[in-house]
Amino acid sequence: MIHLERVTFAYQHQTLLFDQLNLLLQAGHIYGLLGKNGAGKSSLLRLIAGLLYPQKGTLRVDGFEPRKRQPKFLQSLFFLPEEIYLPSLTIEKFWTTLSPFYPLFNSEQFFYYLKEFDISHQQHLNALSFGQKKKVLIAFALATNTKVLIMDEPTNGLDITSKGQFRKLVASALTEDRVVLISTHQVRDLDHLIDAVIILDNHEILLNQRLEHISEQLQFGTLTDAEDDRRVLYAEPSLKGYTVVMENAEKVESKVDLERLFHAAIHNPDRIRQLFPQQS
Amino acid sequence: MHSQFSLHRFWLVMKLYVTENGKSYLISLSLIAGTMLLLMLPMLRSQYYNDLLMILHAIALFACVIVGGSLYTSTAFSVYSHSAQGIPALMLPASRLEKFLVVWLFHLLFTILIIVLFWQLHYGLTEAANQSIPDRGRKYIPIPVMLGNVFTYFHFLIQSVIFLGSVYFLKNAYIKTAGSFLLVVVLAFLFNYALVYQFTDHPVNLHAFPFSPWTIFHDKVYRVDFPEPIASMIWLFLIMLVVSLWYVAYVRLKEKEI
Repeated sequence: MIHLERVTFAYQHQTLLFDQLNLLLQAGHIYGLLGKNGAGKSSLLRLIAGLLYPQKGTLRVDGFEPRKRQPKFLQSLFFLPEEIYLPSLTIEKFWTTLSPFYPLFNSEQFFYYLKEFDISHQQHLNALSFGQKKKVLIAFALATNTKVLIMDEPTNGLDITSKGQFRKLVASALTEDRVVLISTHQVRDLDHLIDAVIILDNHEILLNQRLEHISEQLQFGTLTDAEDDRRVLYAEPSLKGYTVVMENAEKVESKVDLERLFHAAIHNPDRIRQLFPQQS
Repeated sequence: MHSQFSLHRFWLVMKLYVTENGKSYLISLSLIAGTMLLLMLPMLRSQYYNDLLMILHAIALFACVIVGGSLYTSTAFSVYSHSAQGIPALMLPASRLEKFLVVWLFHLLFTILIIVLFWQLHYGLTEAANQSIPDRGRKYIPIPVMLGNVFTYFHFLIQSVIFLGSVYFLKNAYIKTAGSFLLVVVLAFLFNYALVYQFTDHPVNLHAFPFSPWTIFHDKVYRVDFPEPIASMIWLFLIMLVVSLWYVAYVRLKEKEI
């Protein structure tokens, strides 16, 4: 569905952000894109959306070349940016003027999502708080039913209840021919939502794996002593000793802890590369 | 071709543009028309020739048509200068041509409306005012049609330069475009003047603006007009210049990255 091959990109008059980047994302999955500040998460999303142009390499999204910005491509991808803008209209007017651009837009779904987010469709967008505006846009984005849905920090500005609603609605909107890519700093917001994770470190894809496969290779648990244990990739002190991420040699089943996985990847990139060698 | 232009999508983009910008479009137009009326209507109340009232017409041409019009034009592509507004605009499922054409059409209409309004008011009011002046009194002389054509052309040229600047510059588009344009105009004037000065054997004085006839002061006053075919070609070139500026604006929009 989304395929980047040897993509090289740099902002004008700046050093390379991505050099020969490879990435393959398949339909039917919700990917979480994690990375430190400045790792290039937003730039990667913008490259996929065709908002930035790569200097070298090929980039295909659902068979389209994003930089051409063909209407058919734009009908098949919705991009929810971190900074949002909504015109000075009522929600209804917003829906009537924008929804016809998306052939698969489902109005019933839109109003259902609004209701779930506790927003009345008769309200004026100017009267809404930042979080409420974000919810309107998330509802709209999900209802477009585009094959590719990209969200950059979608949970910024959402309260705790809304974050739960967000996870529920996004999970319910996933279909076999749809791919959802979510970038966030708030790793916990993606718990129980994503089924694959991409970790970007030093402008490179350090990890791109299904959670299923990660839990086969890594074990998330606690140890009384972790200091000299060579299996441990990452450890942090806890009440019971150490909470650790370690190699899963004994094939013990454990739930992937995204935050600890992220720390393990950032602190021990070489071990992660050894454990997950096929990155593209 | 369908991916480049579809009437249905074009109509949708137009509806969206009117929904989002219709109010500010009408407010700007009303503000310019209102100021123009305020400056130009007092001529109707005079029963004698008054220089000031004629100057007010010139001020209306400069302040309302040129400055007011270009200030509005400088906002043509301002949405693309901020990521919050620019991303939805670029990601809107319509072709780049459709998005450009809608903005261009509305700005062209704006440019035409304000200049037509000015000339209608100017010629109509001077004629009406002259009727109130006694037969032997000094009458108002409206701007000659030829000069009017030059002003109209300059209006279109300035608006198209500002239109390009609004997509070219990310910040302070108006100031940067106006500054660059002024610099080009001054350089073109100086170059043209120096060239004519050399060609005409260093006259005592000369009047020579780019693309216009020369008046040379030696022992006598000479006027050098362009032959008719050359004059027509100059006009054609000037019109093509405006069209090219619009085209470059379209290319810039196509290449826009956020």
